[in-house]
Amino acid sequence: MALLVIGLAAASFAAPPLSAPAAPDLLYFERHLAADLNQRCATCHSDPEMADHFAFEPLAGADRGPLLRNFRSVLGFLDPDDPARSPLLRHALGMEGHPGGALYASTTRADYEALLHFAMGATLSNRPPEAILPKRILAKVGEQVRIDGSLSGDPEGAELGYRWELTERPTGSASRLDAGEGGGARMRPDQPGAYNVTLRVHDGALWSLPTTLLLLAQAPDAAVVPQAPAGTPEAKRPLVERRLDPQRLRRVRRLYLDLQWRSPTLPEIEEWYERTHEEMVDAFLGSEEAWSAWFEQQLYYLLLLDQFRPKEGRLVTLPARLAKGEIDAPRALEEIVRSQYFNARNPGNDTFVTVVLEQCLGLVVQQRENKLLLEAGKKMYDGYKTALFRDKGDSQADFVRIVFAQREFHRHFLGRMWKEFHGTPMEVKRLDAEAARLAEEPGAYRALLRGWLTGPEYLKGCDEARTKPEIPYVRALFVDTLGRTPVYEEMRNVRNAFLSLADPTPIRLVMGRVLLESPEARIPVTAVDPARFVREQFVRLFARLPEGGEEKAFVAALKEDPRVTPRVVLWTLLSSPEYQSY
Amino acid sequence: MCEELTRRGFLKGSGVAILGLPLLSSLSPFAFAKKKYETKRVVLVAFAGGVRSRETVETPANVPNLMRIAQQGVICPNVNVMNNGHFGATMSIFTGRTEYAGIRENERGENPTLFEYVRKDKELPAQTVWLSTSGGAQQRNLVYSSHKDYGEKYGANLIDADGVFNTEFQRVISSFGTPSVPSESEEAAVAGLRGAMAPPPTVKAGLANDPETIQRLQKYILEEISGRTAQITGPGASDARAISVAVSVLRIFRPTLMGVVLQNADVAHGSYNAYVEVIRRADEQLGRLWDSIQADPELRDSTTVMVLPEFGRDRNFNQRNGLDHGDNSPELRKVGMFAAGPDFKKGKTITKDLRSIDVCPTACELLGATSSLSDGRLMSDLLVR
Repeated sequence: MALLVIGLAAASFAAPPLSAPAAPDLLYFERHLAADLNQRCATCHSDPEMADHFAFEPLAGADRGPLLRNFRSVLGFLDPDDPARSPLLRHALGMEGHPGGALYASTTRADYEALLHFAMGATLSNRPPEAILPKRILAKVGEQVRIDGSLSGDPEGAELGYRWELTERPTGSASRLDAGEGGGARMRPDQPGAYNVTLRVHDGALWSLPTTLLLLAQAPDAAVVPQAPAGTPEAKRPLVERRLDPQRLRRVRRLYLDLQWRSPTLPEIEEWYERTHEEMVDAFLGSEEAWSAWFEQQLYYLLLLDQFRPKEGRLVTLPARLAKGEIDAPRALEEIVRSQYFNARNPGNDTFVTVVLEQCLGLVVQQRENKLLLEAGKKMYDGYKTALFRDKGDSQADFVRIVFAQREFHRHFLGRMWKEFHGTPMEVKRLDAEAARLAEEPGAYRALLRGWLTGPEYLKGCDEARTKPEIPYVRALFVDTLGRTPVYEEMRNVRNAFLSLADPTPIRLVMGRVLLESPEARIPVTAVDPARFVREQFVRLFARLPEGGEEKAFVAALKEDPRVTPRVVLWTLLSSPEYQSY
Repeated sequence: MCEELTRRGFLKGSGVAILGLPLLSSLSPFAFAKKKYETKRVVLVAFAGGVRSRETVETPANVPNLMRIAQQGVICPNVNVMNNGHFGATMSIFTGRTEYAGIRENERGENPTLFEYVRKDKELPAQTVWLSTSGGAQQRNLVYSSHKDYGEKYGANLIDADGVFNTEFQRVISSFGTPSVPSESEEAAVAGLRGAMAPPPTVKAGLANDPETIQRLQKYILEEISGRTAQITGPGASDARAISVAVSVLRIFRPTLMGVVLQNADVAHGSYNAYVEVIRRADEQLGRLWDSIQADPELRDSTTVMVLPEFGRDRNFNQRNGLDHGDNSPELRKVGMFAAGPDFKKGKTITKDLRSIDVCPTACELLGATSSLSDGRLMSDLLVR
C-alpha cells in the first residue's frame, strides 16, 4: 500500500509556501466571468435568500451591486489551496451531485479555463503558469531517473520557481526526490511499484496547478533461470517444476489477498511456499503493507473516501505505527474517528453521534430503545454535561472516549473483523470472551488475529473458494497484469465502476483487458519455454499447477496455434470464472 | 401449523380463483392468471425525483413525447402515492407495497421486487431482467430484496451509468491506451483454451449471468466507455444517461423486464426552472426510448411501457422559488402515469383512482407472473378486455 510522503525540493528561486495562494481578482471576474456565469448560474441560483446555497443575482446594467455580491458569493465556493477542486468548479462540471448537471462541455475549453484561472488568482495582467511533466516513466529499481519539468511555462514569460513533491511511493520505500537545476529533479527508486511525483511552478505571484508523473519502477529483469539438470534435489528446483502442495499454495494466496489486499507475485509465492503458515502470519502482522490494507479497510468502512480520505499528518502514519506495535488496532480506529477527516465527513451533532453509535457499536439509532442514547450523545457533543453508558462527559472528545470504552465496541469491532476474514459470523460465546479480553488488554488484537489466522476455521476456509471483494480484486488485477498496485486515483475510479454493476464480472473483464493491452504490461511476445510459462501463470493467478489436460492443451496451443500468444493465454486465465474467486 | 386465513389464501385454497368467477375477477389478480396477454416485455420507468402532474399531464407542452406515448395508450392522472422519501416511494412502485424506508437508508428492502417475482415465477435467466439507474447507492438496492424466498439469485442486472460511464473512469482507461474488443479469431482461440480448463471452484451463487451475457456486456461497456453516454452533460444528465443505457440494453439483450429509475427532477427543491428543464430533457430521452421500441418489429408489438413518478411535489413554491415535497397536498399525493402497450386501451384518459403499488402486480400479470406478497391490485381498467 502506498504511503503518502512529502519531500519538498529546492527551487530556482525561493517559491513562497503553498499556504499563500493568490486572492481571486475582482477585475478579472468582471472582465472574463461575470457575464458568462450570469448565463450559466443565475437561472437556478438567482434567489438571494438561498441562505446555505450559492446565490447569484442577474446582472443589472450599470448597477455594480449585483456584480459585487456575485463576486463575494463566488468566493465562498473557491478553495484557494486546491483551486481545481473548488466546489464552484466541481459543481460547474456536474460533480458532487450538482442538480443542474455539467455547465461546461469540457475542461479544455476557453470558457472553463477562464473560470479555473480566476480560482487560481489570475489578474488582467497575469495568468497562472503551467507545470508540465511527462505522464509516465518506466524505470528500473536502483537506477537513477532524471525527471524533466523544464517544459513548464508562463504565459507572460516570467521566471519560474519549482516545487517538487514525492506524493506517493510504495510501502517500505525510502527513496528521496532531489531537485536539480533548470526545472529538473532526480530520484532513485528503491522498491518496485508506483511513485507519484508532483510538480507545481510559481511565477512570482501565482501558482500553477499541480501536475503528477507516475514513475513505475520495475525490479531488474530476473536472469532466465536455467532448467534444473536431472537429478537436482526437489527443493532446489524452480518452484513450478516441482510437485506442489495445492493447500500450501492456496494458503499463501489467501493470506496475501486477506491481509495485503493483493495477490502475490511469483517470487513472493516462491519465498513463502517454503515457510510455514505461522511464519507467514507473523511476518505479515509486522508488515506495514498489511496494516496499510487494514487502514484502508477502516477508511472504507467509515466512508472516509475521496475528499475525506486522510492525505497528510499523523493519521497517515498509522500503518507504520501499527506495524511497529506502537499503537493497537482499537486505538488506531479511535484515532481515525477523532480526526478532522471523520469530523468533516460527519458534520453536526446528529450525524456525528449517529454515525459513531452505528458504525462503532452497531446500534440502529432509529430504534426506539436507542433514541435516548442518541439524544444524550448529541447533548454531550454540544458541550452539556451528560451521562452516557453510566459515564459522564461534556464534549465531543468525551463522547468518543466513552463509546470506545464500551465492551460492545470491542464486540462489534471483533465481530466485523472476524467476518472479513472468515465470511461468517463468529460464534457468540467466543466473541464475548475475546471482546472481554480485548477490552481489558487493547494490545491483544494482534494476538487474537494471529489465533484466528492460524486457527482451524480460517485454514478450513482457505480450501473453500470465495468471490474476491472489489478492492482486493482491483489491486490484485494490477499486480497480476502490471506487477504493481494501483495508485489511489486509479483504485478509486476503477472500484466505483465495479460497484456500478449488479454483476461486476463484465466490467472486471473489461478492466483486465485494458491493463493487459497497455504498454505497461510486461508480457513476452513469445514464450521461450511454453510449459514453464503456462505453469507459472496457473500458480500465480490460480494458486495451483495446471492439470494434465490443461497443461497439454495450453502448451500445444502456444507451440502450434499462431493465434495463441502469451497475452492470449493470460487473457484466457484472467477472464475465466476461476479468476473471480480466491 | 395453522395457516392464517386470508382472502387470498381462501381463494387459493378453495379453487375459486381457478374457476375465475366473474364476480371476483376484478378483485383478484389470480383470477386473471389464465388470461393471455400480448405483452412479452415491460419497460417500467420510475420518473423519480418527484414530478407533479401539473408539469406533465396538465402541461403537455413540457412532455410532447410522453403525450405521444399516451396517444397509443392511456393517461392516468389519479395515481395515488405515499410520500415516504424518494427511496421508499420508488421502492413501493417495484414491490407493490408501501415501503417506509428512511431517506438515507441504504439497505435492501424486505419485500420482493417486481424483478424477483418475474424471474422466479417465469424461471428467467438473469440477462432477461434489467434495471438502469441514474446514480446513487440507494437505487442499487432496488434490484433485489432480502426476502428469504427471493433475493439475489432472482435479482435484476443493474447498470448505474453514472458510476461506469463517467469522465474520471474514462481518463483512467485512456491512460492505459485504447481498449479493444477481442477479434473473432482471438475469441475462438480463447474458447478453445477455455474448453480445456478444469471446471472452476464453486462459489456462492450470485446473480449468475451466463458466459454469453457477460461477453456481450463486456463488448457493450468497451464501446460505451469511449462512446456517447459518458459525454452527456448539462441539466438532467444522469437521467439522460440512465435512459440511454436502457435503450442500449433493449437493443442488445431484449429483456423481458426493463426498469429505469430517474432522479434529477429533485433539483426542484432549489429551482423550478431547472426542474422543468429536467422534465423536458427526460421527456426527450423517453421519446428516443419509445421510438427505438417502435422501430424494432420484434419489440413494437410486444412491449408495454409504463412511466410514473414516485410522488409529486408541493402545491406552492418554497422560499427559493423551488418545490419541496412535504405538504401532503393532492399535487404531492397524486401523480400522472403514462402507459402504452399491446394490451392497453388506446388514446384514453382513465380517471379512476389507482395506486402506485398497483404497478407491480399489473406488470407481473402482463408477464404471466404473480406478485404474491404485493398489496396492489391489477389495473384492469387500463387494459383491453
